[in-house]
Amino acid sequence: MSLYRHVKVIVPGMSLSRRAALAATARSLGVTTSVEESIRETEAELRSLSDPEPVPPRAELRRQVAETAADLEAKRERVATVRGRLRETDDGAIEADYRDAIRALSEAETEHAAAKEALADARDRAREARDVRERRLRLEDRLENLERRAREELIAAVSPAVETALSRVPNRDPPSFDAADPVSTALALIRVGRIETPITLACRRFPDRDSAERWLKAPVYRL
Amino acid sequence: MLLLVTYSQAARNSLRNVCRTHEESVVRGFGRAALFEATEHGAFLALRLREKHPEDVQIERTEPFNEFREVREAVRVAARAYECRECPSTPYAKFAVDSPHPTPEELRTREL
Repeated sequence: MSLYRHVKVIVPGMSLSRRAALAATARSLGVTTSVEESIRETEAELRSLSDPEPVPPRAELRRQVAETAADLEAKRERVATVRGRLRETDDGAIEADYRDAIRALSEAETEHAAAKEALADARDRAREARDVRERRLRLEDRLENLERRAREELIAAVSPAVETALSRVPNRDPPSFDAADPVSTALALIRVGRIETPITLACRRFPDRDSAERWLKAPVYRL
Repeated sequence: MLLLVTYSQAARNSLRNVCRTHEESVVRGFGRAALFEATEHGAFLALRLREKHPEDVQIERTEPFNEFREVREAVRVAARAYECRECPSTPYAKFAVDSPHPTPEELRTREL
């Protein structure tokens, strides 16, 4: 955001994001930072990342694995039960039951194995999809760190001049940048920074427009 | 325990908030990842996070690692021997040559 956008209307009770406005002041003066190249590179890299592929949904596959496992367990128990009965009798019907139970168990085993395999495949694909997301997250973090560093450098570059300007703001004696009221701070930033679009002044710090423009070194509308 | 890993700034912020407000169910926080207690409350928190960020929250269940049950002795011995090596700059691949220790290739291809 340009310095102008931060300070375009100077009015008692105005709000000012101090650190952002300080950085904007430095930018208005053409101050550059040591991280500009890295910021540009990181932004370009972020743009070049393809949109992350959707991570394949796996809830249904997990449910199938859980259900086929429960089914498998039930079929195993059934085989054990029928086998026990088979030992006690030579009834042909029980033998047929036993064969059925064995077949059902074998089917359940196949289904469970298939469900597990499908889930494992989906997990592999999810991992790949997350690699891109991971990369994006790292770049976003890197960009934020670089921007923080840039802001610190910008602020350091203009802070002394702004402190000096603050100490000379007419009709006020602000103690320091952080404790100063927003109007005084904004006036100091305008005086230090470069602004070509007229500022709207609605504070009673200057007797007239000319003296305001002289002190602020910027064009002014006075209300 | 439940291992939570996040893959976006929004999901990471949600995880941090959960870690801050539910210390009793969070065993450890590591920024974008965390370990939750293996309780229903831990699972509840994990599932809520996944509900909120379905694509960007990974949930895994961890198990305590027992090297005496899961790792063959040769690997344990090799790890100890390598950490006691005389020359700190020797890479493991070189260290393993002409020794009873498994090669890096063997280690990589054998699953636990």
